[in-house]
Amino acid sequence: MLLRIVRSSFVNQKKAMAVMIVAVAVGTAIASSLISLSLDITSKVSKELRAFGANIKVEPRLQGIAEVAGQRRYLRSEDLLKIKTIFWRHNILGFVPFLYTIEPSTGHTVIGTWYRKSIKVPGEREPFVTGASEVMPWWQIKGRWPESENEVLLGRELSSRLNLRRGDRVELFGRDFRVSGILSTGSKEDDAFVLPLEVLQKLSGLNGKISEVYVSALTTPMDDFAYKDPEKMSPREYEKWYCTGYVTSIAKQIEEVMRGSRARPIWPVAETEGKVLKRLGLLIYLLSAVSVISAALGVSTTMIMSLLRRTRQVALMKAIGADRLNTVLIFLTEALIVGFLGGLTGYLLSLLISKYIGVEVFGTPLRQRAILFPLSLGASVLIAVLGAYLPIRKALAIRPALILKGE
Amino acid sequence: MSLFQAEPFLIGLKEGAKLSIAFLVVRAYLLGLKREWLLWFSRLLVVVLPILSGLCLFLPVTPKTQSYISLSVGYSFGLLYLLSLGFLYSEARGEDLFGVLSPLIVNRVTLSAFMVIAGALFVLPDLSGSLLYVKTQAELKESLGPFLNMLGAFGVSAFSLYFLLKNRSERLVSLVGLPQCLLVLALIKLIGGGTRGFTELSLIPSVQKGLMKLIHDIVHQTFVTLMVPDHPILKTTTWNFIGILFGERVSLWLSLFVLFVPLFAFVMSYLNSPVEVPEGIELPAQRRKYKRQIKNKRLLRAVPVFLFMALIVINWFAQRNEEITRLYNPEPKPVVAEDNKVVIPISSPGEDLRDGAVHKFTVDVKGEDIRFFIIKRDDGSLVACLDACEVCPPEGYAQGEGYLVCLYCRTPINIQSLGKSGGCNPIPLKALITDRDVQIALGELYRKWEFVKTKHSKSTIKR
Amino acid sequence: MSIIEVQSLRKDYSTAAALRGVDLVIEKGQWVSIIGPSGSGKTTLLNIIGGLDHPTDGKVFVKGTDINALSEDELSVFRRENIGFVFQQSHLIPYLDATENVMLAQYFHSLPDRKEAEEALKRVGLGHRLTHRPSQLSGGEQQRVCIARALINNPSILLADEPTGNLDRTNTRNVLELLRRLHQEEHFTVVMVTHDPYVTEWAERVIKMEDGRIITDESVSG
Repeated sequence: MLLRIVRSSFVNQKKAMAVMIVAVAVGTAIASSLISLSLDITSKVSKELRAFGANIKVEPRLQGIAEVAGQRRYLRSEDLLKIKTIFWRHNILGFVPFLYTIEPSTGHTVIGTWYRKSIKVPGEREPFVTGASEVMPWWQIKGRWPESENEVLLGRELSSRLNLRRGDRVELFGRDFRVSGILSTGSKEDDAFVLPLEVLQKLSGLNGKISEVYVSALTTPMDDFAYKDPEKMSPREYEKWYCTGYVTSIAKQIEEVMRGSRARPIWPVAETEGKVLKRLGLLIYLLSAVSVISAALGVSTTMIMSLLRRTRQVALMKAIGADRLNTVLIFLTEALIVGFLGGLTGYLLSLLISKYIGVEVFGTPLRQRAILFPLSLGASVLIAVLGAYLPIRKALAIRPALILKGE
Repeated sequence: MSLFQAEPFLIGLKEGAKLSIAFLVVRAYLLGLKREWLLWFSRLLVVVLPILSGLCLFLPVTPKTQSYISLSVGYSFGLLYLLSLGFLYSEARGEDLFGVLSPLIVNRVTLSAFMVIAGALFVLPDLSGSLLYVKTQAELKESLGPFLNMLGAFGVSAFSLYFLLKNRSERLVSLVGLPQCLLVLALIKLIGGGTRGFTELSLIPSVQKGLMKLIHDIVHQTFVTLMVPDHPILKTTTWNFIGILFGERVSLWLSLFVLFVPLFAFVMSYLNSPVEVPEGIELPAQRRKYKRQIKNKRLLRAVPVFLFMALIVINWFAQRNEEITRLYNPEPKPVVAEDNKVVIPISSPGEDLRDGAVHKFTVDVKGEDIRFFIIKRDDGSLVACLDACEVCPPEGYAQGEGYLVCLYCRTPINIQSLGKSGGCNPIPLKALITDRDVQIALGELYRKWEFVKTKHSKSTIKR
Repeated sequence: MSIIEVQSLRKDYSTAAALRGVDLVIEKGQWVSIIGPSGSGKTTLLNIIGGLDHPTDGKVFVKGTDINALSEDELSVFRRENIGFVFQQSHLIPYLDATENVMLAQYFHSLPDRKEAEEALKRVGLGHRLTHRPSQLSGGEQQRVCIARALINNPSILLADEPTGNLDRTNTRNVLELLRRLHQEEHFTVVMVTHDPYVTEWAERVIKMEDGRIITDESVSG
């Protein structure tokens, strides 16, 4: 019977109902796509296990007088092999050393590194292949990696600034080099000359010295325990931490084998991005709240209009025995149906919106989450019920005696 | 070290809240039964059972005990759930709540036994699991702090909730019958269950996994009994097609179906079953009024069931995107040794060692079940390793995407590094790998497995 | 045995007083007509007895219950279980058919029961109009639907406010004949407000009102 009453009110007021459904749909779409955006940010942050890329950075530790004087300190080449001797040696997928120097006459940065280096690890038969090609697979070289001692790689930005191309000649450290290729990495190498590490060490007189090392390691995902300060652990906790392949404990072991070094985990890029975006979280929730409230207001006014047209019917129902629950149920059911239909429409809309936002913000569409569906429905029902609150109050206040008497 | 420790404290709060809410619901039910002595009995249980669960502290903390406990949490949840379904069904049929059992239930002894069992099912696994977890923490910290924190929080939440809600539970009396009571207990387990910290009892993934296995077994067995050759033709096309049935998608929907539909059907038949109007009510309006009253009562009693269904749906949505641990961990296949060595063909019907998946085997040597596995490395060569490493207890390894994972310490192992010894890598086995088979000497297996067994404990690393 | 008891009832509206102290006792099963010019307060009296309106002063007991002491929901329950209403304008829900309009009263009371509703319509002579909308029914037919609806929940009191006000003489007589038949079968109490002396001919007791007071109260035998 209830459904019969509600159905006829839909059939008889198609326009008003359509207006309400559209209001709910738009409010829902905005709110739920904003919330799914914020969900995506957090999930992007929490994704720590990465397929490739360096996750530990090793640099010289600055101590005492050196720190005060700002004197440059270096790591040692001969320590590099020791990275493959730590407890977690099998989890080291690759590492790449860097040496940063300034060309004295022109002031350009010259970087020495390994691109694809095969090294012999003591106690193992097969050689270990490592270098930028393994650790930084996004590096792009137009041309080739320097093969002879007088070839050099040129960063993309620097090449356009100096107007140099592949095959052109350039003078570095008083020697003649031929540009063997153009390198683009999206980072500081773009604005520098890049040479094989050993070549640069010899040229610059920094034999056996390196500025920093990037290590790529297979790690156990960080859990609550992993974030504890090792300094404050009990001996047994420390042992457990040391023997678990957390990125922090692997970094700690690398630090122990490389003299004068400091090894830090590099948190995924998304985490730093995420921190900024997380601050936008409040704004996102505020915006969703505003869209929910304005949609609810839309529903509310439309519903009050439709109630005014039905005042006599409501009064009659009350006269023949409807109590407050009956009255509330009629309008609430109406609101819930509006909410449900609006929610479905809003869900479909929000799929489109979040796709658009995703492409704009992250460059990729947002993940289509299943949770978005109940979320949309929840938001839409919330909107409809909020919107129905005032009309229901008004309907409850109707006095049948006054309405039915006045003809 | 600070006195307050958040994690054990919260565990204590959770367990206390679970216990007191459960007690209040049971109390509401017992008040409805109008048997005073039952109330005293249940009070006694509430004191005795937590103390009993303290006994688990004498158990050794190994992954095995922990997995047994979390299993029993799951099973006890399932049992409570099924029981409530059963009683709901009998209530829907309009039978006496206890159906055929009613003479038993009137009996004090059987009723007490029922309460002891249900109470034990509810309290023991959860509380022991949490206690064990706190015990491992206390051992790590080498202090009693976690225990004190947990106990304190347990007391606070149990007592405060009890006294806060005590008067409210009296209003529940008409709402709570036996099925509702059991269902709420299952509900509390569902929300607050799980032995480790706050991790939920992962309802959907576990049901899903069970279903996947069931379907696989049924379909596979059917094909085997029909004598359909498993291998040549089926494997490529038909088998891939049938394979959809084993997939996550099917089992995902099935798990919703299995959990949701019985409840839904029961509730619907309960609500819609006809009402017998007693004689003596003559006027049609009076008869209608009587029916309405009965239906209203039923509707109220169905509220916990609706809640549970809503929770299942929410849980399903929340967990459906969760990876059902994409780790692949096959059952070890038993093999028999001949001439003091195990010989495993590289290619046999139904199995190909070179398919890139981990192939686990187990062999019985002098009463020891020794586990080992064979896997193809990225360079194409096969490698045989013990299913254990030098460091961790021999829980074994499972396969993730591009790596193996130690099931004890969750450390990922680079597959290409298999065959190298040390660290968390599985202990490599000397094997003769020919074109046709892999041969491993029993002595090699036994010696290395014994080494693992005896050298269980890690040497403490000095700072 | 009295079923309705009204004690020194007053009702003031902002502009004028509608009831200025009414005392009235109605016996169970009586058919009472209240007659008077418009503005005499007869409709207000009826609404207050039916719990649709609240008095400014005085008490109303219906079946021994002080209905002014009831909360709004209790009043709804009381009304749907004890009182049936018939109004001057045949107040029907326009988008529900005749049967559904009757079922609406069943629904608010307890449960809708189509068969019972159809039976009730047949009893008022509308067996051939079950699925007609109010707009497809004549005035007399509409009023008969209202009577079926008012009596569907077996009330002990039927309150009718000018039930024949919009009907011609023939239809008026048909409706009143119907009511008399049902009254004799089911023995409910009827309180009918009218300004038409013809209608009072069916009553056992006629109360005349003017300016919010009862001026005559006479029983008609036979």
